[in-house]
Amino acid sequence: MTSRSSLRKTVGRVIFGFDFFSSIAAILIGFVIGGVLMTLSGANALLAYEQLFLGAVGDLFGVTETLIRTCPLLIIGLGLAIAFKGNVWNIGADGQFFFGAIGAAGVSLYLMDHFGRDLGVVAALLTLAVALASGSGFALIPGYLKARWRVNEIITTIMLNYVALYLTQYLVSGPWRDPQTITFAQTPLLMPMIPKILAGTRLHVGVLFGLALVVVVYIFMQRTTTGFSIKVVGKNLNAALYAGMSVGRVSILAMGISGALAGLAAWIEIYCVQHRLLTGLGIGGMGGYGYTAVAVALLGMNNALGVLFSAIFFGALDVGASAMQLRVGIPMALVSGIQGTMVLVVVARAFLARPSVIRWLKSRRGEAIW
Amino acid sequence: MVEFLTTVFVIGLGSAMLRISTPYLFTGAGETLCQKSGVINLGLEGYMLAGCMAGFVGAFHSNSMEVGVVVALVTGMLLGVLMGWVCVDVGADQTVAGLALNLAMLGMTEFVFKKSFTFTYGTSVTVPGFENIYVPFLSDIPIVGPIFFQQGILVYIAILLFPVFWFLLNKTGLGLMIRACGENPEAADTAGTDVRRIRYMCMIVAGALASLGGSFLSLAIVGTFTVNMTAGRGFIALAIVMFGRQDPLRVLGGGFMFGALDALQLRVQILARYIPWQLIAMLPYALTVVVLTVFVGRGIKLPAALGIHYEKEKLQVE
Repeated sequence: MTSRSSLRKTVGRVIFGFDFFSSIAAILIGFVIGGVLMTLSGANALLAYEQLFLGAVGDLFGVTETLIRTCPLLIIGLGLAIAFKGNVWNIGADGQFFFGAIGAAGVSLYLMDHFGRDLGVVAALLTLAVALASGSGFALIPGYLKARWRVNEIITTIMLNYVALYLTQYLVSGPWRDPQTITFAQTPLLMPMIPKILAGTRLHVGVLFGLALVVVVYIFMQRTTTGFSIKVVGKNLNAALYAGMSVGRVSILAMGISGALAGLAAWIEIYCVQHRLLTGLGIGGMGGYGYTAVAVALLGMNNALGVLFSAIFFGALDVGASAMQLRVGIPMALVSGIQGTMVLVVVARAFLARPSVIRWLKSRRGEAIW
Repeated sequence: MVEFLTTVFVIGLGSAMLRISTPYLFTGAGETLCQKSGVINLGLEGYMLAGCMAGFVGAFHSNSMEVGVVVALVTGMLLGVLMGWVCVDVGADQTVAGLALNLAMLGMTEFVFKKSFTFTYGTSVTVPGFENIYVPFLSDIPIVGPIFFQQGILVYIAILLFPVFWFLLNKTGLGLMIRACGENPEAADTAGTDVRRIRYMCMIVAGALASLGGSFLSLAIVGTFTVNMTAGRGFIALAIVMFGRQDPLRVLGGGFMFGALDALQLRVQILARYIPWQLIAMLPYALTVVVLTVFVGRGIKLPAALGIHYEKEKLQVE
């Protein structure tokens, strides 16, 4: 068999697989429900969706903004996908994001105090390392509590989100506040600045980080023993225990990795996009990136490639939503509602598995082998 | 420090505690029932937020608090039916389903609210709130009277739910069936209990009560709706149920404890102005983590079938 036909076979298996089918169905159902809501509220749904689409990918600005929005969703979503695969429900990416941001900003402010504003590569790497470490460290608290005392990580991670958010709010309005901005509570410009990669847009190098991470996470989950043990613990706890895997170690590891990636996303948001720490850092369509990334990971079926597509899709929706609000007057929150609905449909996808649907998918898969 | 502990301060703190714990109590009562039947509801936050918004919109447009409460109850029941279908019939993962509901409700409530208010009435719209009911004689007792017996009707209902649920769960046949569904659905099924119906019922009650709890926030405590108003309270309610080990009376105690904490925190923010308010505001959240760690965790007996989907075996007729 040639490699091309085996590729075709794989593509056919994915496209006519039940997971892919239900994701597409979820997206359609989400849009239909959103459309019904808009129509009920007296708006022209088709016009709104048109503006949403044009705003997201209609021009170079839209496309680059979509990619910029995709970047944190992708990076955080990849980390969450790893955790979710291991049945570790880290909903605290938002807090880990802010904690990573706090760590990096603190280092920047310290360096700027001692070495002036002219900071270079070493400072960039140092802030990056601290962002990863503090994001990861903040995630290890619930990870450890779960591993040691089986404390429900969903509740603890969500509670810690508020702790991190209030801490950020305190720092940017108190000790770290930029004396020159009166209206906003934010830190001064944080050095070093990472240059843009496409002139005239805000496109930055972080997007490439994200793409590289898709490959890394894919290999980690598919080809390494650690990735395998995470999957086993998530899929079949008894089998994992029987095989002598340490469930506690997996939950700490999964938390640590997802926290580190949230920290990375925060570092990119600071040094490539905002250049400041402020509470508005990482606020996307559905509140914080950390929350939207939960939806991204779930819609992407916790699979690296799936997360890539769902991150781009959600990034585009978020960017399109602001265009829609601006041009048609539909509150962009609707798009968050649609995103949540899509995830709910994906979660309840078993109801789509009717015999007729399965039969149709199977027959298409058969044809796809050519 | 001692000079703060005047009668006025204690009464203010006590009655604020009761008011603030009421949303936790409603939500926690429903969730207790739900968990006893074997379903864990991670979507409490979503129910609360929906009720918060629906109750406010209903009360504002009808000019009647009662209508607001009814609208919130109906909204919660509808969401309960939806989640019942997702968790009981479809058999989706209850954790993820609840999280998805929260995400959906966060956006939906903001959309509906903005669509029905901001563009029409501006942002500052309020409702009058409930009138306090003075319980005869009891409300005249010094300190205790003003704290416990001069509250709105919903506060009394929230507290009374707990002895009622305790009696229901522990002393009635229905309660036995509910607990059986949570402990051993196969056995319950064999004994003739309709597990699906019981779990559906509990989900709908939990949805209605959580939504009612949310509406208390917008209708009685604040008087208006703001985006993401519940701010994690659904998860605190979940923590309270876990702290209370699904025992109604312990859940009631836990609800009071968190209410007291919140009320105290708000007062310390005002009294101790030299401490940055953000650091005080984060305390209830941080303490939830501590309480969960210290009181919940290892050695707690949860309903054995909690979170596990049960499907009745179908008779094979060929």
